[in-house]
Amino acid sequence: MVKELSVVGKGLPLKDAHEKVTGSIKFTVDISLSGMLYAKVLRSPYAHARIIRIETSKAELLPGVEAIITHRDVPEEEWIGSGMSYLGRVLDERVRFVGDEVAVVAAVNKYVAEEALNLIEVEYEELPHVFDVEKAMDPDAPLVSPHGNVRPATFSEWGDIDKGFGEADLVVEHRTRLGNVQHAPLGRNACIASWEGEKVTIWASTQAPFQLRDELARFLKMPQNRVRVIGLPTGPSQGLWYTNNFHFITVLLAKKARKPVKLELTQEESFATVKRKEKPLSWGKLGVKRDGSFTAIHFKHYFDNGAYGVKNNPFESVSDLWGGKTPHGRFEFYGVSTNLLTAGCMRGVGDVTVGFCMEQLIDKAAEELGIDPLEIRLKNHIRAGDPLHSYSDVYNMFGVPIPALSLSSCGLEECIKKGAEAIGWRERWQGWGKPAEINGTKRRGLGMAVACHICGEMWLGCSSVIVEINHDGSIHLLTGVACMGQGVETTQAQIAAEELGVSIESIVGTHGDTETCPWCVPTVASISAHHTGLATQAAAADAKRQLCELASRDLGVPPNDLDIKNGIIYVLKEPDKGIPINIVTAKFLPEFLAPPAIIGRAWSNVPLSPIAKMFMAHFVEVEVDTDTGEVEIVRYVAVHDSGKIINPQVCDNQVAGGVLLGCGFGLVEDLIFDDRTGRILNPNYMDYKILTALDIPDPEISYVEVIDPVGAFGIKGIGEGPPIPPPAAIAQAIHNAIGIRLDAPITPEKILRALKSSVEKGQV
Amino acid sequence: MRLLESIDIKTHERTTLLREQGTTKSVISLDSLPRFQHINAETIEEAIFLLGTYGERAVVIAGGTDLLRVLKSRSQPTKPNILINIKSISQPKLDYIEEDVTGLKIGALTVLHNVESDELIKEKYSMLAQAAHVAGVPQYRSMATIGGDLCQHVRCWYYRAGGNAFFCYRKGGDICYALNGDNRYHAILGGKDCFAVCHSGIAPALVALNAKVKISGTSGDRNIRLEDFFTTLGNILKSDELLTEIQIPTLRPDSRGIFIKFGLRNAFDTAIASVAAVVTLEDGVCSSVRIVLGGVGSIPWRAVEAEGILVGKEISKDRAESAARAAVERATPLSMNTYKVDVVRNLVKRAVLALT
Repeated sequence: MVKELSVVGKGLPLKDAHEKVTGSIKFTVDISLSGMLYAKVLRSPYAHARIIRIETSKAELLPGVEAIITHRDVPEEEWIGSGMSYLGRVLDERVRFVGDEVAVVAAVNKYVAEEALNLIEVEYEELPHVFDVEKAMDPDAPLVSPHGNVRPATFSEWGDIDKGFGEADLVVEHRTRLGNVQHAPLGRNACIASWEGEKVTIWASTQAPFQLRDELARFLKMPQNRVRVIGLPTGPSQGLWYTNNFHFITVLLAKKARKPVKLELTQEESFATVKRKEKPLSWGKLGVKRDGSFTAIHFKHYFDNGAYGVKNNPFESVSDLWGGKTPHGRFEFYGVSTNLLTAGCMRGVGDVTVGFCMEQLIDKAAEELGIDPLEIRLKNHIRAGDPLHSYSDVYNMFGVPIPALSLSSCGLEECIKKGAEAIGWRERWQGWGKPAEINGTKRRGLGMAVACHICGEMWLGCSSVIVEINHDGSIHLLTGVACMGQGVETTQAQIAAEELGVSIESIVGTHGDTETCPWCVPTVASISAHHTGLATQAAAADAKRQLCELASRDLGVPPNDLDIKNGIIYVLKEPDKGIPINIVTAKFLPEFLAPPAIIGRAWSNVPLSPIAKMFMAHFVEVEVDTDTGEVEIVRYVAVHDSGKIINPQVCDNQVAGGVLLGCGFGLVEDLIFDDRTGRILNPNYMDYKILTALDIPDPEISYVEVIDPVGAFGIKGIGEGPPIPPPAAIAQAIHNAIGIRLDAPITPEKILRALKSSVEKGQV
Repeated sequence: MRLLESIDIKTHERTTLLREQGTTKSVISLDSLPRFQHINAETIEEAIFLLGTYGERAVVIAGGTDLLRVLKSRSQPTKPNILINIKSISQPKLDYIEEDVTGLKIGALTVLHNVESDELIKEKYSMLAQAAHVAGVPQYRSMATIGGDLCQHVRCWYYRAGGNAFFCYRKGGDICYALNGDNRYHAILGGKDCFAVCHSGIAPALVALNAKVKISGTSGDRNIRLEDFFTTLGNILKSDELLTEIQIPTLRPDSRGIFIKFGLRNAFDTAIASVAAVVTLEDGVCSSVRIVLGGVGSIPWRAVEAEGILVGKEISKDRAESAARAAVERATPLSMNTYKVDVVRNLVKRAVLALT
């Protein structure tokens, strides 16, 4: 019998909503310590150079300057970033992108620190640079990374693609190149480090407090209990704030200064010196039978890591989404270093980039075969129980034999059908390259795309959680998750409350402090609800077991005959007989021999197999003005399978925000590098365009609640999914409106140029 | 007037040496304001006197929405360290919208929000209200003044790069970096040595309305046509002059206007291009017309060729199209902005057709 849920599934308000709207929530920029110094960074003007001479003596003499560090003051050793987002020295005598750190000053205030920077003399020897992925792969290209420009390729492979393509009636190829995208965090960030004796405490708004702690401890050769990271809310990090070099800089600077140091990034530094999304170059080849079934997929995907990124895998699920039913496949991935801002993971990782190419590849094949875009997708997408291939590269990397892995649940078919119904696909879609409506220069087109994405990764580790019940019955939930606006403080409390049989109000959470919370995976890859949620559920169950044991003495029945509902421990067979939790826990006090408090604890990971993935189908109607190239999104429908929906309000926020982000990928977002210098030309919100709430209509959001067998209460992840389909859905809709297939961001400029050249070719 | 001797300017000379020539010095990203003296001028005369006295060291602050950003980014080779606040001018206050027999007078300190929401402007000069309404965001329009909007710096990303990273022609350098750089938003008309564009939407609207500006200076007041105010590298204001009033002549009956802005977003965006047009129709014949383009050159660009095609004629679809073609006839797009020619042509066509 399925137990009826009373907390999970409810649209409860966010636990930190009041603090956020009143501005009382503390981000790292809001924190200051007594006697704290302020740090400012001197940065490279060159995309690639060697520091020949660096003279800091004049700056050191400036009153108020307390410490300066350069490459001479930091360990030779490199540090390794979470999510392979960094590999390099904290400061190096070689600088690898415009904005790379050269020297850092700590002073009594930021004005003195700024002035000191002007007194530091640096002589550079400019070195040849390389900005383009393809050029950087040339054996004669300037060497960006000491480890070589091209990371060892990773690949997932199954079947025999030559055989597969041989069996195909049609083979199509497609190549996409997307714009550079910046995470564009809405807030700035800062790091504070304070040394007390042999211990250092770091305040950081990061998605990865424990990974920052662990790597700092390794790098500093200190025990982990002498490095404390207090993880604070990040705001919409989107993958930007992991373990970043400015954290390491702050720690080393504070050590030299012997005082607490705060390094606060300017908006320009947040945009142009930390990280961006990798710029992809994808090539795909798809073999299809006349009936639309796939026979083989071959992908080569290159992405630039910028100066210090070291990813060799885009962490995609495209090979699972279509590989489950396609008998032959090969996906090859190459990460390449360039002299541009460091690049790495961003929300929707891998599936935004590889998926954009794959969706268009499918569209090309379907168009040629005269098949509806829905039908070809329904025919080929993975179903529950089908094999997964995307993990084979990880097993290859660790040199472990690849086990048989399969998918736990899949509601994509329902997502497609539900979305098609909502947008009126059958009535509105006129066929490939055919507008739904023409009104003067305005052409409307319908488009759709589907996606699949990870719900965490098993190899990221095991989350652990503590549920502590105080004498008054109030409950403390301790986890290492990072609060980044995704609602995790609310959703984890909902899971604990559901399991314990209490109200969510009785739970207060502390998250991300490495000294008070148990170890946790980084808050990446849509991991918290699905993975960490299992640990939270188990810790709550452990606390519940202890409560029932205590209550069994009073109620006179064995613990197993008890349950908890609405905060009351009651006898299963006699539901009227019970004691409130706080009466049971209050008894701890007078009884010297009673435990001081109840501590429920657990760690957990997902099973090796089956593995859960989230699914979604998005539908869009656009209006293209062929005179000006403007694209307006007229309607947007998003249907998601994220298993049991913990909190519809939280999930709606995730989807609406993600759709807006993805539409931005599709239409406007473009971080522009100057071709000659490699300098970012638009490191601010005026010139780097992200879409605002006025730019798209409210998406029509709905869910297909397929209860997942793995997650707590059937929950899967959701956060990273929503930005994935929009660029591909928009590209398809534009293709249907004007008959042209374009790479994102699809700007008026690209549309007008393409329309012009197709007029010249006589195609329109 | 206060004693100038009492003003103690801490010139902060060491830091004013930074990166005059740009590009070769290390990059420093600052978000603090440089040190400056802030002087509240009480009269126009005082403001002018201070401007004349301090020359390059002084800069006028009104709404400050753009100025503070420019100062923080250290994007300019000049390092003004005296801010002359003109919001404090009380006699006369420069924040007014008045109508008399000659037309409309708008004080230079009138904020854009008041321009967009003024009943008189909405009724009689609705095109100006439209142009004010689509500038930036509400927060910006509540702070930014109409005079400041006309006097703001161009928004070229080379010109505006932090730390004066590109010492470009506009700043006294040798070259325009946009010419061989990323020029997707740059000039398509009238560019020669500098290809930055004036992105103000108010400016083309006012030029289309044949506005004049009153300039107050040490040697007295002068009224000039706004059209003549802008120059390729800035404006004609002398170092001891202040823009104090905008004057819009009474529109002839049967006149109507339209403002169209083209950008990538529906808010918080500068115009990639804009068009402001005013026509007077007598018995269906266009007796006068002014069409002004924004975002296409370093000045609000009057499309006189397009106007010539329409004057004395009835407006038809064909004629609107010829006028639109004529508007961009002399366009010389750069490597990445040919699309702007198409956009502008279509905006002109739309504007003209909307006015019939």
